[in-house]
Amino acid sequence: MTVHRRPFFLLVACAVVWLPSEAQAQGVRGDVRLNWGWMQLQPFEQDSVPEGDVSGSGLQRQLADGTVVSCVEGDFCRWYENKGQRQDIMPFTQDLRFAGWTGVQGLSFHGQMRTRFGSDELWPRTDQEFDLLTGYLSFNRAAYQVKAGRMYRASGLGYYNFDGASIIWRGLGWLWVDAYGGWSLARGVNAPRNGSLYTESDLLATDRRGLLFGGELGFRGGKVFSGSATYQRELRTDRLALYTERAAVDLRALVGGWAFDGAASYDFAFDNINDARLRITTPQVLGIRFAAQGRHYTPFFDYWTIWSAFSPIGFNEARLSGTWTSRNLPLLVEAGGAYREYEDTNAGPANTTVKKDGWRGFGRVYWSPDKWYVDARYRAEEGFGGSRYGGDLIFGRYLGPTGASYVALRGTSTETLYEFREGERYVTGGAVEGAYDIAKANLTLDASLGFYRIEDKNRPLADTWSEGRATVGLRWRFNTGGTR
Amino acid sequence: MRRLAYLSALVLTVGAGALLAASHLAFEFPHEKHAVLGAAGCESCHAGIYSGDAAQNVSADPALCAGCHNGQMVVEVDWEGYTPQESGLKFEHATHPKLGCQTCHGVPEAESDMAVQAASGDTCLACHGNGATDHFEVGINPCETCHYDPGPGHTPDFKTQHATAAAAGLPNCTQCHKETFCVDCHDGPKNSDFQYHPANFVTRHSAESWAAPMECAECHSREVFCRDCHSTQGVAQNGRQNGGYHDGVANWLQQHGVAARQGMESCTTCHQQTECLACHSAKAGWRVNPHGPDFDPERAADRSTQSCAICHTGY
Repeated sequence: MTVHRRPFFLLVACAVVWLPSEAQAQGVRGDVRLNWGWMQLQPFEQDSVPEGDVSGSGLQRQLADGTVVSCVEGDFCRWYENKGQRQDIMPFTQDLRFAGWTGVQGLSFHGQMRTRFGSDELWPRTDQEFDLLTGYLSFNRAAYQVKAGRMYRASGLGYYNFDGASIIWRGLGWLWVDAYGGWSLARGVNAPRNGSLYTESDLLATDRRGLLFGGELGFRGGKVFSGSATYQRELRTDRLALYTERAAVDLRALVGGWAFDGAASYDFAFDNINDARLRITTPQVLGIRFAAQGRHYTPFFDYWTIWSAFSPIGFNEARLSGTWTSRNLPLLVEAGGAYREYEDTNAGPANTTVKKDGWRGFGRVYWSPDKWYVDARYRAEEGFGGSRYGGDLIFGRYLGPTGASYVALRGTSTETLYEFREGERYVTGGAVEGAYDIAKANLTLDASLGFYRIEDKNRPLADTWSEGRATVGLRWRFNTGGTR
Repeated sequence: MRRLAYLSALVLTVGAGALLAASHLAFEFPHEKHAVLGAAGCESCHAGIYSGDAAQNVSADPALCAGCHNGQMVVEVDWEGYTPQESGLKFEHATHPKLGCQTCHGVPEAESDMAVQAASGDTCLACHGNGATDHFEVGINPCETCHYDPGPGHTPDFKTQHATAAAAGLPNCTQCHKETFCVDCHDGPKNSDFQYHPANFVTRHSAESWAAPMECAECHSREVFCRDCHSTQGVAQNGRQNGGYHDGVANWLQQHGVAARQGMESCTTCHQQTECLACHSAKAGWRVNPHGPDFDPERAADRSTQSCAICHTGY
């Protein structure tokens, strides 16, 4: 959806800044954020030569210079390469968020809108120039809340955005019931599934909007036990088929510093448990806390696609992590890891070389004597489709009492292995970054500038090159005097 | 059967936690029932509270109870005292002696001084908030200003592991966080305050997208966001690739089924449905059946005959 509404955004921003005095008396609070980025990327291009020009036989062969190519007999041998060309990408976004109180008890209005400019063809969604993320009226009383407009709905099924209404009743205190419905918006897009964003990216994109309906039943047993069950379905506006039908259960118990979390989400059409978790977090003793988690994950896909019919399988994962927060030293140490195994795919040859498991390990040491800090992070991620090892070392200084102002140097080194591609990539570089909070003006500025040396190995035609990156951000908070 | 086992384990584990929780609550001391002691001042039971936060200072000595609960004046009790929990707060009573107990622990508008409760974060902000009016006013006070560990279960990895806690509603997130706090990450502008991914994630994201430590599609549309960038960068070209990109695996064509079922999400960030249907449609092409052994066509068709009709006639 390409909407040209730059003037609209500016008008709204001005209207909020110079609100009529009557409205100011009731209170509007929010912020404006501007973010500009610059990065360089080195895109791939596909190249080919006639199959007869390449010696050897079979699907995979090598050119004279060692380039691995994939050949189709009587057709072409193809490969990907980069001949040194780079792309400079400069996305720019503006966000306006506000919440206002009308003077009528419990009645408020909320909004968040975004504009995107620059690099329209090179950065995702910069051609979607105006985006209304939320915009709704809320009437909130002790026993219930009614909302109408564009809003997010967060539950055990994740984040869903829709245009419609919701009502929450919590009259008993320990029990709440939430019912909601309206026109659904595709996840992460804030646009209908049949909009141009989808039709331009998939030839089989659906031609109908969706209607979303759902309900949640939740309960809370004091400060120690709570849970919720959610059911939600989306259907085509012509009612010929569903887009999604899902349910989720989430439970939590807090016991003297222990936390027990359990969750599961279910896909009705394909009889899959998509994400099931059991997590136990220990109390903090001598500054040390552990968390253990078992997880089963099978991806979920909307029913308008064919992907779930291809029977994607899931994995089972065990995860253990621990943290130590020193009482005597300004020190935080964090470490953990996870191991996962995939279920049987029932596909491919028995002697497949694709790995059936994966693991990750991570660690962090944060030390902050006085105003200085050192933050060292490392992460290893090994899997069947790609792996990487590397981390960051940050050396910085806080410039104010709250940590909102700082300046830091960041060093980075990452090795990336592409299991499904020939070659490895090594990224080494550094950046200077910082932020400055001007509390009296409710203004925060942040910026970063970095350069990274990118070296590809075992990809003969790729050059070693340096990538530049920069960001500049500004956040201005306003509050005309309202309260919650 | 496996699904039933998952759900049973989930309910049993959390349910056991709830039972433990109920028994834990029974140890709270009923201050209001002991209003008569209030005249002697808090220090009569919490001796030394202003000099330090040792267990014997925060919790009254159970031996004091026997002064009245001796079986003659009042019935005997077997209360063993309260074991202080680590609050996770960078707070010491000894450094706040001038405030008085009621300033932080008093119940507003209660008649008795013995009506007390745990101190709330908003009380701290009255002095330490730098002008903030809400606990957790975004961007004003980093959690670590007051907390060693902010909140029960708010471990350092809570940023990526909070889904269940948020959905279950405990702790009640909205008591501290505004809705915009969630949107800051879930659909927020890139900002150093709330940066979810590490710096330069574009060059690092491949391994994590295959491993799915989180569901990327929660925030990023595979078709619109991922495929858009992969297309412009040449990672995903239009049409069949004849295996040209996946040149790191020998005999990719024979092995791609395993990779696809293990990492279908990643496949869809480059490939359109029509590319797979060149071989996997019942209407044309090689007519290779893509369904796994557990696929239930009637169940799927009940929900969406539209997707069945993409490959099959008769729907």
